[in-house]
Amino acid sequence: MLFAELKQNLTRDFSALPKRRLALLGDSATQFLAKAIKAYGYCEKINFEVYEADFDQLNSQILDPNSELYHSQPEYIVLYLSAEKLLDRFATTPLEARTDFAGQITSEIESWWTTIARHSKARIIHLNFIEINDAVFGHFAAKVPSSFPFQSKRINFELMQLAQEQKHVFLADVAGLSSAAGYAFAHDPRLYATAKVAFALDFLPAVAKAITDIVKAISGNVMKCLILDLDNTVWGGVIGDDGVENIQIGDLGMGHAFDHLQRWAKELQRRGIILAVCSKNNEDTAKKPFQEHPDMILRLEDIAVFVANWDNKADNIKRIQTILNIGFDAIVFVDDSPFERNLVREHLPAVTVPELPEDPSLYVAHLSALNLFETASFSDEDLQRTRQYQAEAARNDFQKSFTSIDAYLGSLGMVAEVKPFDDFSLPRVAQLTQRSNQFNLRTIRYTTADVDRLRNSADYVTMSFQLADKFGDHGLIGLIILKQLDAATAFIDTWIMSCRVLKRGMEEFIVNQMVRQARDRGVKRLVGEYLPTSKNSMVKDLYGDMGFAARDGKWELDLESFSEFKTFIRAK
Amino acid sequence: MSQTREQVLAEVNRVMCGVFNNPSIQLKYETTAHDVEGWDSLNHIELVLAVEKHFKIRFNFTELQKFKNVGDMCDNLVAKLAKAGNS
Repeated sequence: MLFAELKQNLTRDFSALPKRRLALLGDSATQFLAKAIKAYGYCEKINFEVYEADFDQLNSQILDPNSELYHSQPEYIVLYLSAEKLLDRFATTPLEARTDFAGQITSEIESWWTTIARHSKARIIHLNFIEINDAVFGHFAAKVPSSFPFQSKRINFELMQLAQEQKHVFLADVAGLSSAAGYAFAHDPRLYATAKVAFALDFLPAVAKAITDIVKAISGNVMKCLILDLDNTVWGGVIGDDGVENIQIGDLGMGHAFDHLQRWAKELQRRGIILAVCSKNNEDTAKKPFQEHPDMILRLEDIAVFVANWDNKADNIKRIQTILNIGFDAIVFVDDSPFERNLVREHLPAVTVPELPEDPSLYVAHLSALNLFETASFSDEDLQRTRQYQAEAARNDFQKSFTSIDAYLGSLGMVAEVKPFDDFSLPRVAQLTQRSNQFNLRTIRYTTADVDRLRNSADYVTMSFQLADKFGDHGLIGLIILKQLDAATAFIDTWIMSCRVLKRGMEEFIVNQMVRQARDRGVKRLVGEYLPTSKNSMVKDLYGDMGFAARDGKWELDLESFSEFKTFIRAK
Repeated sequence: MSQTREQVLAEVNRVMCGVFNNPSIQLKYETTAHDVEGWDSLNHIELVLAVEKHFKIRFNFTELQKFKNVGDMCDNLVAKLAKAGNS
């Protein structure tokens, strides 16, 4: 997309879009970038209110707690230091100090990050440096620690290491964008010389997309599932016509192009994206390559939900969505057929349906350039996800053989572990507060640092719930944050539960546990609140169902008269 | 391809309406930045880049500094396009 096209969005009506306050601080002129961010926000239905600091005012804006930066109360602070300015600074660094140029720059940046965290709750989106070769040593610079290319690569590397420790910092890989587009595209020397604008205008849409992608991921808007078509998407040819020996994968025909797509999908699955199949085929025929073909990279155990039949794909995707219990807006559907793509777009507009090039060897390059799977966190639980959903699919089958729900629940052998938040659960807890949209009573988002503060405060009680049954371990599926308001009252600040464990008595179990903890502290009543969002209507009646009484827009449970619910979950 | 001064002015006018998101701009040869609302240094940069892209030419820095009004830019464009057409 060209800047001139993107800019047309600025004339649109933003008034219905949710606002996000974003501050932009740079050491070069940032006006065009600010425009690009605002305009790109429209593509993603975000109304960015951009506060732009004066040119090159990073130090004063960040260090002064009363600066305009902090007064603008940003939710996001974009820090943008240009590679060109970095090169100027390198040139004025004495020769003997150059081998530690990177250390000096990164420690300055790190101190900005920590200072910002002291004065603001904003998340920082830090743009890394384009890695320019100043051609002073040529390629040999790679072996010269005092050269600029050596030091600028080191800076980017060290920023990644520092950012791991700073949970409120997110790096935008501008160096990666520049190497994809080319430095001649990313930077216009005339624009920089005449106006100190370091990004070329037509590079700005890519930078604005990176920033917006990160903002979306932080606010919990992430893709969780990739649904794949099979014929001519996962392999070349039509399995029903060609037979398992003749489909193109591995060395046959265009096989390597399809290998590439399968490897990419497999990597996504390994990092916690759920894979599903949606194919017009007989189920047995469609499964055959996964079971029998030696060159298939994807195997049946990689696929959480496998749907192959002759119904229309929109209905089948609805089925997959029901089993997985995730939003349509967390689903990406990849299909080589324009007909199927359009059908799904038409019937399920919330599903992301990328175009696909006709040439299969371009599939992965095209899809990865879209950056569909941005995330704001990564934990060990992500790795377990496919197995959990497969167990859920098995549970669904198992469920059919029981007529009484109680008999079914009793037979599951459910065991729950209840613990205050600890060092291990901390990142997962923060991630759940950021991502959970449906079973989330108040949708308060917390960072790891926030959660850490709460669990160490005497006014709060924290509880995490892990659930296992005979089919497998669900991992951490629920969390509660109670805040003691006074000697007799505790407020349910946060109640989040995974939709995977609905309707099996977990809600009742959680209430029982809250009541026990509250009684131990001498509390006489629990107060809950439901704050509606566009996605959490499933819990609007939860407190009523749990025996809470409505009062003043909130819900109260009298602990003196409360008697525990019967559940089929044993506390570990 | 060579173009007349009038043709060039009309095209510059069209490019400018796009850059300024304002379809009602009417340029004359003697128009300067003071005469058009919103023609600040930032929009000026965008305008120059867009004109270059549109006519597939490049201005150099000294040329840009000499332009006193829209007419100067048009004359420069007419000369550049004639040269490109002849070569």
